[in-house]
Amino acid sequence: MTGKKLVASVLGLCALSCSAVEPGEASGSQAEAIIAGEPSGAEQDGVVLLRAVLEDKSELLCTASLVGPNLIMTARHCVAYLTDGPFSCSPSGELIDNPSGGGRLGLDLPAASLEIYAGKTPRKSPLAHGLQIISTFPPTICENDLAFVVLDTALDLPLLPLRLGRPAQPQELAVLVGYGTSENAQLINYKTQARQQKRGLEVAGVGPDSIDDGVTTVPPRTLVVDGPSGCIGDSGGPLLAESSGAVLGIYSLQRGSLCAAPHVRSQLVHVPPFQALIDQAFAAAGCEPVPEPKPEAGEAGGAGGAGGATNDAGASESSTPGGATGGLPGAAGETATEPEPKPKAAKSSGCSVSSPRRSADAAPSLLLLALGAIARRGSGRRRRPPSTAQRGSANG
Amino acid sequence: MLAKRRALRATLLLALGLSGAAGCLVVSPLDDLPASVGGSAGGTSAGGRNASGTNTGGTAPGKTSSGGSAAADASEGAQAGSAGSGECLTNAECVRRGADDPYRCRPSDHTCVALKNGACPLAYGDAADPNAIYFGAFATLNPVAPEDNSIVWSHLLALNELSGDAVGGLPGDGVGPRRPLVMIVCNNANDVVEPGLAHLAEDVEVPAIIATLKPGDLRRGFEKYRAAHDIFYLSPVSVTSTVATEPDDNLIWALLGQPSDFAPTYTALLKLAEKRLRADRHMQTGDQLKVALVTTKDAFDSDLATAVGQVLVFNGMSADGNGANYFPVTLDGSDPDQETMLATTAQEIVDFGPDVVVSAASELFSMDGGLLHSIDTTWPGREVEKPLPFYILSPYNAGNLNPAIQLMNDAIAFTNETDPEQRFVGVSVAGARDNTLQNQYALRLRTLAKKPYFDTANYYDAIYFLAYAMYAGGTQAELSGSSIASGMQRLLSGMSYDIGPSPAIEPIFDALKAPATTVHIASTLGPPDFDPKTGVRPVDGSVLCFQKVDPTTVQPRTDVLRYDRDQATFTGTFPCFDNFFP
Repeated sequence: MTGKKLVASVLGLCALSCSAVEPGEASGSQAEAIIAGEPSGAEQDGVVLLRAVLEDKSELLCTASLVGPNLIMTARHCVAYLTDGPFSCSPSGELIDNPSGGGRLGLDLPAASLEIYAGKTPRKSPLAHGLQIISTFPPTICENDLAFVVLDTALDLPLLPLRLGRPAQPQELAVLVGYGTSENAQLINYKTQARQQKRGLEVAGVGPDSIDDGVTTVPPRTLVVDGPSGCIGDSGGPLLAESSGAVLGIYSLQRGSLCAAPHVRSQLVHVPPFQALIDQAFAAAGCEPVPEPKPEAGEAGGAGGAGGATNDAGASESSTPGGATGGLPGAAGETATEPEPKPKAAKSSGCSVSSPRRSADAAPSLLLLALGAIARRGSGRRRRPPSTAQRGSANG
Repeated sequence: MLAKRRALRATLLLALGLSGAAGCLVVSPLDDLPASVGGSAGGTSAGGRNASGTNTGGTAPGKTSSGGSAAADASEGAQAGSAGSGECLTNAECVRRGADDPYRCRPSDHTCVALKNGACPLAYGDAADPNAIYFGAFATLNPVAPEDNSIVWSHLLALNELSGDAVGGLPGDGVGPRRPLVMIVCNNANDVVEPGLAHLAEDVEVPAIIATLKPGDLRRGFEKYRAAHDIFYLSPVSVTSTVATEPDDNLIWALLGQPSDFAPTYTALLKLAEKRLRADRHMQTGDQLKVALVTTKDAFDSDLATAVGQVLVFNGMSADGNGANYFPVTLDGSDPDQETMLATTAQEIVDFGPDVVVSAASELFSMDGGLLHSIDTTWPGREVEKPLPFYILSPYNAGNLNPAIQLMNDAIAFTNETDPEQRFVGVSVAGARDNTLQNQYALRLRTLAKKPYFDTANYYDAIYFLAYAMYAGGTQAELSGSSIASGMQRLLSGMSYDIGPSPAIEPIFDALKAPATTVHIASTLGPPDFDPKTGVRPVDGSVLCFQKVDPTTVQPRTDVLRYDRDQATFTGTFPCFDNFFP
């Protein structure tokens, strides 16, 4: 498998209209990640590229956030089987039944098939592989589209702090970071695709923490952002508070047929309500989340951009061809956004990379095995794991 | 690379074998089933998949203090009344903290535990209910659409009937609230059986598991957790004689018997085959029939072959007494080079030249490219011409007849053989003598799932037996495996009640309220004639065969003959070809 054979990734999906992504030759150098974005600087090196190599050798590209030295956070549809096809989600976060079954999530992909790459290009070998996938195992993409992946190797990259204990606020300023394209059908070469950021985004809505709190126009545990922001390949990418660099949300879905359409609405998983899952993931990884830095007086709304919780931000790789051009207003090429308190260094974080007692890090054989079972079962679907292109069709 | 591929294939084959055992052993006639009543989307759940609690307070996520959550309402507080420390008091607060996903506030240490994990990705029922009863189940899950599963659908149908709005779950103590059932479904694929059992036993601490597992996995799981966890296991499928007879404090029960139950059917079927072959092939009295018996190293297959081999009679003699005319073969599913292994074995069998090949084997025999296929394709190369062999398929093979059907259709299309279906019969599990409940089940299943497989009533029955055994064993807050096992003993005799949805449910609960009362639960499989000592319900064997639906296509006919153990003969009508039965 070479990097030529490209990569269409999936980003969020459009609930109204979806278009297939055709695989083809890479054109990564031409892809400009995120709609009307700008290069992402070294201080955002904790935002990594997630590549899954499926059984049929097709690929799936997403974005992920390094939240512990050996722990990333991404969208669950980036690490699970997904039934392709158009779909819609209700305001309460339920998949609206559709003939194709589109939008349904299956079991996890084999954890070992997940590869992690840093921002620096051209990329060669993965920095780490998945060891264990942790999620709430939502049956559809419409709810709780969030997953953690424990890695087999601790990475010496900046750690992203998490917003915990308090929700994102409507109108809160945020920045989206990802490895996505700027066009729906744009293909990505994982070896060369640059990381981009989109600043000045505003949280347009925050869903309730629980369905018990009532149905609103924003689904439970969801943030919405209006206007062009992410696109294919940005799924799983973090929405960072500009004030602190903490992860507020994870890019999940897009409502609208075109990423660049002026009225497109993006749907992200709101991170703070997932306390139990976060506890579980960090326990499995053997580390603690980096707390959100407190904004300094007069700084609110100004700083931010990316994970300030860097181990060694100054020494981290530049992810942007031609040099780091920072992600913050007036911070190009600087590392001025380091939040306080200082993040833990990877080597001293206490994180463990040993294999925990779980099965989610199953080898590919598990999935092939189960596929065989369904193929012979004579009931239920007889679908093969979706190819990259198939997933693209589901996610627009 | 090749080694990896072979390893994967070996794993695949094992899984196929399991699903054959798990999914399709019950073969019941549905030919007279009324027309479909239509169907709606599958996968409904009892109480909602993502349980929503009644908790309206406690909006802040995060761990609560030992003092508990202000969110707890009165009833939940009562449930957690003994909680003096720990991080949770109610299931509802755990569900809320877990993003509305199903969690349990584990009573033993008041810790929130997720019901789902990588090995157990499905959960159904109102997990937030303070009185919920949690139990585990296993199924072979499709990675892409794990909920689209005939075993799961069958379980869900019963769960909805017992625990949905109409009934609401098991009656509570006295005037206490109903206790909804919450089912956690784990994957029984080889790689995740052990983590699934660990999750159910150690994380969720369930008192019962519907054990759709290979007998070896069931035995290992039971032995591993029996010391620390009192768990009741109810297998909807067959178990081995080892599982049936080893002391288990009556904690393991099984609905579909054990391999020895099928042995008499094999014997009688071989007798019919011999009679027909001798006539068709104009064999003289002194001519000897040759028989090959194929099995694998899998525990069930091995057990079945042992039982069958001991009772086979042909040429007027026992199998062993036939000497060179009897050829027992054992396939090694763990052989990394299965292609070569199967080809070599097929050649050996072809060289032996059997008139009859008896399968006591799983998928290795009947799968596409398996031994059956290899024998038939190798056969024309024999030095001495001889008609292709007659096959007796196993209950495992009956779980997936498609490869055999394809082989027959191919023979019709691409060879000179016009009636290959006349060389095939099979052994399966007989359905209930009175199939009324089975047919009613099939009708209801159609309303739940789009394209269900109907020979799955054993999975439906399993939920009912478990629920009634739970209630019969006592309605204390924390059920134990032992109490459920004792409850099972109360379901085997007494006034008879049919399994089925409301209004059939409440009378059974009412009857079981009196501690000394016993009832007779008639299930879709028939009467509850479990052996109270082993916990295994013996089954009758039945015969399946194949018929042409047009000149080039065959289809299976199941349960055409039923073996009567008392009369030692078949009953029924054999419709597939002449000169066989009677």
